[in-house]
Amino acid sequence: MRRSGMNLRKWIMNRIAVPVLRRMPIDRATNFVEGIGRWEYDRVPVLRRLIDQALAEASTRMGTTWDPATARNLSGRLTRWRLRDVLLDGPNVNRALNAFEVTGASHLEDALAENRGVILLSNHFGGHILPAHWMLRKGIEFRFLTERPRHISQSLERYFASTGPLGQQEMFVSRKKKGNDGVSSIIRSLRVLKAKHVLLVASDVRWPDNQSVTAEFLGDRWRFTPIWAILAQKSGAPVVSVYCSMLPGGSHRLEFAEPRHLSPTDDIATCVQQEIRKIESRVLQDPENANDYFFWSLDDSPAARELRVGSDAAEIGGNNLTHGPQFEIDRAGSRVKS
Amino acid sequence: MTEIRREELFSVIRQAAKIPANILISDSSRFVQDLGVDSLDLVGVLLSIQDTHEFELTDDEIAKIENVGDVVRLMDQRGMKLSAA
Repeated sequence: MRRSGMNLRKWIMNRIAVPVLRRMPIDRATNFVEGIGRWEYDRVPVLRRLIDQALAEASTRMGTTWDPATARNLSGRLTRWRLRDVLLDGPNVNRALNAFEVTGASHLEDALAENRGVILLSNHFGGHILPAHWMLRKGIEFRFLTERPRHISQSLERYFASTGPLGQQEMFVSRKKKGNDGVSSIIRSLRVLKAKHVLLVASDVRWPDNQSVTAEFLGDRWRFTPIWAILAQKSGAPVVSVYCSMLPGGSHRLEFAEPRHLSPTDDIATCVQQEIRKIESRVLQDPENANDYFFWSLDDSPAARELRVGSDAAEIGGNNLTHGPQFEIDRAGSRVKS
Repeated sequence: MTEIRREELFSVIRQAAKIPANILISDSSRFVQDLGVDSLDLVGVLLSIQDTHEFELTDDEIAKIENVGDVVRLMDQRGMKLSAA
């Protein structure tokens, strides 16, 4: 999504508004933040056109219509989303935990009780960092297999400062890294699971490497990393999907699904597509929690084109992909040897 | 110092990465270019070697592995001497 004017807004938010907002009751702080987002929709024509266009195109592709207020409310939620878990931060644990309506926590407990670690499958729908904040507050040991998240709370920053064989610092991945970094990520993740911790990994990460699989999402086809499914097959750890919807008034609905296991013979691409469809279903029902999903199709940057699968984008298995030069590209499941 | 037959190591690599019997494995074999091993296979190879010979590679060491000889050298550094046969 374009960032015109965002840097000043970010500065104002982070340096001035956030310290004040954190002292307010969460419902008032959230309403204020979402109000800023809706104000921007009303008064910044570039932003309004972008959101309207993104929603209109998604609506056409999916053959659905949404309430006319959706675009404006989405703008409000986007501002709230960008603050990640910052508004929940602070020494008052109850203030944070009271902001969650949790269902299915027993599913996570049951999965942990298997003593094989848990792959907690998150996504970028709603408050995507918030499951991590909730686990932090509940004292559940977890590691995040992700690119380093920005603009998170100080509590999570401190938690993520751990180093060592099971340290969080080493778990962060980067699209820029080459060589055997993917191998190291998998091995580190398996160590986390072996230590019976929760491994938090998103199911909807578009990633340009030779392991990526194609899945359809909101009418477009994208390349997604299947690393969560690969780890599930290799480790035998249970997979628990989690969804966190941002609700009006500053609360969040945190839903844990029943644990499931992937067998070594399960088709990885099918597993990924099934998970993506679940997110899509939630987006269609609750577009105000869609965050930046609708803007994917408007992104015409080279990075986005590399991730899109279609007539003018990089083809799966094509040798024009440059990421990870040490590894051969896997064409539709069959190995390509040099 | 632990003695390990090279053939045993090569057998572990061949099994973990499902390398066909007609492809020769030697110290100079590059995992990707010569043995057709991709990142997932390499994970399997390294885990098998670690589990079979009870040692763990660090992330820095993993990052530098390109060929079978790199693994042999790392095992040698840990006091595991590989014999020719």
